[in-house]
Amino acid sequence: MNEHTTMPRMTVDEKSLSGWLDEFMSSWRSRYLLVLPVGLLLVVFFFFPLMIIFLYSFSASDEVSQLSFTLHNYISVLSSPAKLSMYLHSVVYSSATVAICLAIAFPLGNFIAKHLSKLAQAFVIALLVAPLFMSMLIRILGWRLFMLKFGVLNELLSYFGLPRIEGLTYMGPMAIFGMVYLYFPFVLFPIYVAISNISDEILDAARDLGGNTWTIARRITLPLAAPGVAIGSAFAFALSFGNPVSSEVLVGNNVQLVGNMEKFSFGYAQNWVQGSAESTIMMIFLLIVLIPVLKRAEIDRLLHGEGN
Amino acid sequence: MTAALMQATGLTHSYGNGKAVDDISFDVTEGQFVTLVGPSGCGKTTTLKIVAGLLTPTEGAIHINGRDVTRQPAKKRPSSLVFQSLALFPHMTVEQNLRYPLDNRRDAPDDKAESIRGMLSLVGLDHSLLHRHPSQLSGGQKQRVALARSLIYDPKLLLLDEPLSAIDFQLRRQLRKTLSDLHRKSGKTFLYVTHSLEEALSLSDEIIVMNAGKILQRGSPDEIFSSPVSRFVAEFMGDANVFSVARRDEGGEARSDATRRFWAEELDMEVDVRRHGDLRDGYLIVRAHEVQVGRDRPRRNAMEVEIFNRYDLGGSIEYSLVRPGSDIRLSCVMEKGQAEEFSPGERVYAQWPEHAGTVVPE
Repeated sequence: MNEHTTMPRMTVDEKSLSGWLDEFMSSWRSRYLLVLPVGLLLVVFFFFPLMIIFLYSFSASDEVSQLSFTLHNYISVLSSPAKLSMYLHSVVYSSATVAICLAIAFPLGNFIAKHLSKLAQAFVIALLVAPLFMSMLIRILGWRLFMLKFGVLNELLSYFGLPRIEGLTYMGPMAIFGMVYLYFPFVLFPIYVAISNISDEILDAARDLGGNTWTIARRITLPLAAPGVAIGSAFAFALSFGNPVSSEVLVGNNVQLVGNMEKFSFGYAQNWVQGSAESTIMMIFLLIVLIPVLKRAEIDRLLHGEGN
Repeated sequence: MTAALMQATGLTHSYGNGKAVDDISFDVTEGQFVTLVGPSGCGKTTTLKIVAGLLTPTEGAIHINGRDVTRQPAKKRPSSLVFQSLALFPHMTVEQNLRYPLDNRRDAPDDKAESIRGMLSLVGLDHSLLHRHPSQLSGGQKQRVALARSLIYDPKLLLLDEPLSAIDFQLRRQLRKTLSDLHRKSGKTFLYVTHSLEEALSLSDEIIVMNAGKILQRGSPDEIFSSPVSRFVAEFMGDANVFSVARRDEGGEARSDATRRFWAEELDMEVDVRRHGDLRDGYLIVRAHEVQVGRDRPRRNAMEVEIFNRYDLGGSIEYSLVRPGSDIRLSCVMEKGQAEEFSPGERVYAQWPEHAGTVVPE
C-alpha cells in the first residue's frame, strides 16, 4: 500500500480500485468465487451426466418425467450368465492388456529416460504421441486391414513364400492386441516420467554398490517408479475396460466385452435404463479396483520426484 | 616406499571441445587419506568418477591393486563412492540401505543383521534408526548412513565426493573428526574430493591441488601450505597476501647467504626472502598469520599501515590493514593474548620475518 500512496499521479479512484482488489483477493470468500467457474463446469458436464445415468439405472422408464424406483435393471444384469461372463471377459482382457503394456513399457521407459539424449527423448515421445491425434477407430481399422485374410501381413508372408495366417480377425484374444496398441502410450508416459525423476546419482550408487541390471531394476527403479506404474496401469485398465472399439472392429465382435454390452443397450436395443445399470456396475467395480491402486501411487511423489 | 593401491595414468576426459580432466597421473598409497582439492569445475569430481568406474576416461588408465580396471564397470571395482548428494535410496529404511551392498557382496558375512548393526556403531549411529527412512533422518545422520553404506561394501578404496558440503558449519567440524576417526579405525584407503582447503588440510595425509583439469601440486598438507608452487596454489590455500616482486642483486645487501633481496614494486619497498627457489621475479606470498603488527618500527620487511578493521575470530583476531595513501591491503591474524590489541584507525607497523614469505611463479 505504501508504494501506492507515494505515487503522486495516482488518482483517488485508481487507488481505491487497487485497494479493493487487494482486499478482494485476500478475503476467504473470493477464493471460493475464483473456483466457481471450474466448479460449475465439473458439476454441469461431469457430475450431472453421472447422476442421470445413476438415476436411470434405478428407473423403469427413460422418460425424465416418469422416473421411478426399481432394482429390476440391476437384477436383470446380475442374473444373466451371459452378461456376467462379459464382465469376467473384460476383467481378463483388461488385466492382460495391463500386464503386456507394463512388460513393454517398463524396460522401454527406462531406456528412453536413462539411455537417450534429451533430444532423442523428445523425438521418441513425439513419435508415440502422434498416433493419438488420429481417431482410435481408424487406427484399429488399420490393424484390421493389416491382419485380414488378404491383408498386408498375409501378402507380405506370401511374398516371402511363407504360409498365410488365417482367422486373425476372428480370434477373440486378438482384441488384446488392439487394446495394448491403443493404451500403451497411457502406460508408457507415467512410467517414463517416474523413471526420469529418479536421480542419476541414485542409480550410479546402485551400480557402484555392486548391483547388476536385474537387481537395480527390481530393488531401485521399480519401487521408485511405482507411482508411474500404478497410474499407467489404472489408465490402461479403466480405459480398456469400457471401450468396445478393439473387440468390435478388430475381431468383429467375436468376443463380447462390457463396452460392447453397453453399446448394444444404449444403441441397438434403445434400453437406456438397462445400459445405465450396466455402466453403473462397471463404474463401481472400477472404483473398487482402482482406488486402492491410486491411493498407493502417491501422485505428488511422481510430480515432485524423490530421491534427491 | 609402499606399493600404490590405485594408480591413475594419463587420465583425460573430454566434453565436446573442452577437457574436464587433462592428462593427469597420480597414485594413492594403501591406507592413506588422499585429498583432491580445487575450485569448482577443476575436474576433481570427474577424476573421482573415473576412478569409481562411473565415467570412462577418453584416454588413460586406472590400476587398482596392480590390475587394469579401466574398462571394468563400477560394480566390479573394489571401490565405493560416497556421493555429494549422498544418494541414499529414499524408499528403503536405513537397514535396507545397508543390506543392499551386503546382498551384492559375494563374500558377505553370514549374519548380515549383525554386520549392519556393527557398521552403524562404527559410524556412531544409534540402532533405533534402523527402521527409519532417509527422509526421517537429520543431515548428519544421513551423512553417516551414506558412509556406512559404502563401508559395508568392504571396498579397498573409499571414494568421497564432497560428502560434507551440504552440512552446516558446526556439524561439519564434528563429521570431519568422524571421517578421520573412521579412516583410522577401518584402515581403508580414502580418496577424498573437496573444494574446502580447511577440510583438505585437516584430514589428509596427502593433498593433490587441481585446477582446470591439471594437477598443480602434490604433497603433505604442510608442504602445500607453506611451500606453494604457484600463485594459484598459494591463493587457493587462503589467507595469503600476494605482491609481485623482482630480484634485486645489486645495491641492496642480503642479511645472510640464504636470503635474497627483492624489490616489491607495488609496495615501493625492498623485502628479504629466504624461500625463493632461485626465481628472479614472481609473487611474494605472506600468510596472514605470518604478519605481525606492532607499534615499533621493525628493521626489515616492514611497512607503516593503518588498522582498517578488526574481526574477532574467537581464539584470534584478524586485522585488515591498509597502507595510508594507497589501496594496498594486507590481512593479518594474531593469537589473542600474544600481542597487544589494536583498534581501527590506529597507525601501526606491519612486519613479517624473512623465513616467512615465499616467492612463487605465476
